[in-house]
Amino acid sequence: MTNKQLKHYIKQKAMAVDVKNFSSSIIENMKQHPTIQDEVITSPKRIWHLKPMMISTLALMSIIILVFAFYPDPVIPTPTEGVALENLETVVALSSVQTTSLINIIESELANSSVSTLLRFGPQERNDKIRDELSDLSRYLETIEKLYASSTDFNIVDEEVTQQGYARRMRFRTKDFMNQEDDYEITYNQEINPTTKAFVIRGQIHIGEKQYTMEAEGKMGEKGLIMRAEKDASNYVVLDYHEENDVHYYEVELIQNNLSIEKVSIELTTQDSVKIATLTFMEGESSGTYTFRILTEDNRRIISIHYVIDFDGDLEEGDITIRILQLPASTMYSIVIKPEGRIPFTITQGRIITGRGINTTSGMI
Amino acid sequence: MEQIQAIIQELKVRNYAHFETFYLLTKQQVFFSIVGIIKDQTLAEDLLQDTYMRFLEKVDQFKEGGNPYAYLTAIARNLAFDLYNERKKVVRSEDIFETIPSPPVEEDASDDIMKLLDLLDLAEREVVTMHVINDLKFREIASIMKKPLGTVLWLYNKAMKKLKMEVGENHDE
Repeated sequence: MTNKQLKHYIKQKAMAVDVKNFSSSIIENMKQHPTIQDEVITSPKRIWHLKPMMISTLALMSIIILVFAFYPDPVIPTPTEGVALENLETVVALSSVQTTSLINIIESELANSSVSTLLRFGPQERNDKIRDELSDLSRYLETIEKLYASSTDFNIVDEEVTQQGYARRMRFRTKDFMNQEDDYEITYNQEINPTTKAFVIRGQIHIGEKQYTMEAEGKMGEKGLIMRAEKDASNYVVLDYHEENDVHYYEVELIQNNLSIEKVSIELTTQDSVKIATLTFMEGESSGTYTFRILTEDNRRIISIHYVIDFDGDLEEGDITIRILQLPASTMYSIVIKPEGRIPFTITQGRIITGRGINTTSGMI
Repeated sequence: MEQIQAIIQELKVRNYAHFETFYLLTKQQVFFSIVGIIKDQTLAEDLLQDTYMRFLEKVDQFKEGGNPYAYLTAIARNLAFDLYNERKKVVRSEDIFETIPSPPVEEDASDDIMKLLDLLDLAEREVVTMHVINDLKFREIASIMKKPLGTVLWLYNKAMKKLKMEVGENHDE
C-alpha cells in the first residue's frame, strides 16, 4: 500500500463518520452573542528574489549541521576558562569557515556545476522540478559527506598566535566519502562580557587562498547563537541557531546586495542513534523538504534521502539514493529518484568539493 | 474551496444564509481536529460548536485567500488543548487521562478510523489528521503546531509507517 492509497483510505473513513449538524443552534447562539471585531493589520509582503545564492545557504546550513552534529551538547566557556575557542565557539567558527568557503565556491563555480543528465523521464514538469531542486541540493552533499566521513573531532588544533591582530588560530581537517582531506584555518579574537555574559567571536576564515570575515555572538549559558559570515558588507549569511530538547534548529537567511533572497531551515536530531538532518527550503524557488540518512552498500557509503516536494499544493513524496560514481578522471553523483507511485529516474550531477572545484564530466552512464 | 470562500465573505457581513452549507463542508475536518486531541465524542461535539462560534466571532480576521480549513483547525485545536490541559491538571498523564470514564466513541463508521488513529501518539495523530483529513500543507501544520517543518514531516513519516503496518497488509491493492 502506498502513502497515497493509505491517505485515501483514511480520508474515506473519516468522511464517513457521522458528525451531527449543529448549524442551526450555532447560528441561534451567534445571534444572541455580541460580535467582537478586532482590527487587523496586514504587514506588507516581502519580496523574495530567487535562488542565485540559495545553494550557498544550503551549504551554510549543511556545514552548521555538520559541525553541531559532532558537538551535540556544546558548552560555552566561562570567562575564567580563557579566550580560546572551545565547544560552541569552535563550532561556530568552524561553521563559518566552511560556509564562507562554500559561498565562494558556489559563486565562482555555479555556472559550471549544473551539468546533469536526465537518463530517464517520468512526467516532464515534475521531473524537471525535481532535477532543479536536486541541482541545488547537490551542493549540500559535500557537507553530508564530510559530516559522516570526517573524524569526530576534525583533528582540531587550537592555539595562541599573534597573527594579523588575532590572538588565536584554529586549524582543522575534514574528509569526504572518497577519503580526500581538506584543511581549514580560522584566526580570531573572542570577547566575553562577564556582566552580561554575552560573547562575541570575530575572525577570518582561510581556505586555500580565500579569506572571509566571520562574526558570531551569543550568551553564555544559553543554547543559541547568531552567526554572520560575509563575503562583503552587502553579501552575507545570517544564521540563527538554538537547541531545544536535544534537537538542533537552524534558520539561515541569505542576503545578497542587501536584499534577503533566501531562507532555509535545518533540523538536526538523532533517532535510534542515527543522525538525521532535515533540510527545508523556506523561501525561494525550491520548496522541498529533505531528510538525510547514510547507509552502507557493498562497503560503500550512500546517501539516502526522503523527500516531499510541493507541486502547487499537490505533495509528492519519494526516496532518493545517491552514490558516488568513480570515473577515470573525476567523480560524480549518481542520483536515483523514486517518486512514490511514479516511474523512478536517474540523474547524474557534478560533485563539488570545496577548494578542489567541481568535476564537470558529462553524466552519461 | 471557492464556495467556502464566497460564504465566508457573506459571514463577514453577518449574512448567515449559507452557514449550513459552510458547516457541512467543513465539519468533518473540525471534528477530527478536536477528537484527535480529546478523544471523547460528546466533548468533541461541544467543542465543535464552540469552534464555529469562535470562527464567526473572528471571521473578520480571516484573510481573503487564506485556507479556511487551516483557520478552523487552528481554532479547534486551541479549544481542544484548553480542555485537554484543564483535564490534565487533574490527571497528569495522557495515558491515565485516556482512562477517565467518558462516553465511548459510538460503534459506527467512526470506529475504524478512531481505532486507526489511536495507534498514533498525540503529535502523530495531529499531523495525520491535519494533513490527510483536513488537507493542510505541512507548512500550515508546522505553523499551527508551532513546530519546525522537519519535525512535522518526521512525525508524518513515522505515523504513516505505523499505519501501513496496521492497514497495509490487509488492504494491499
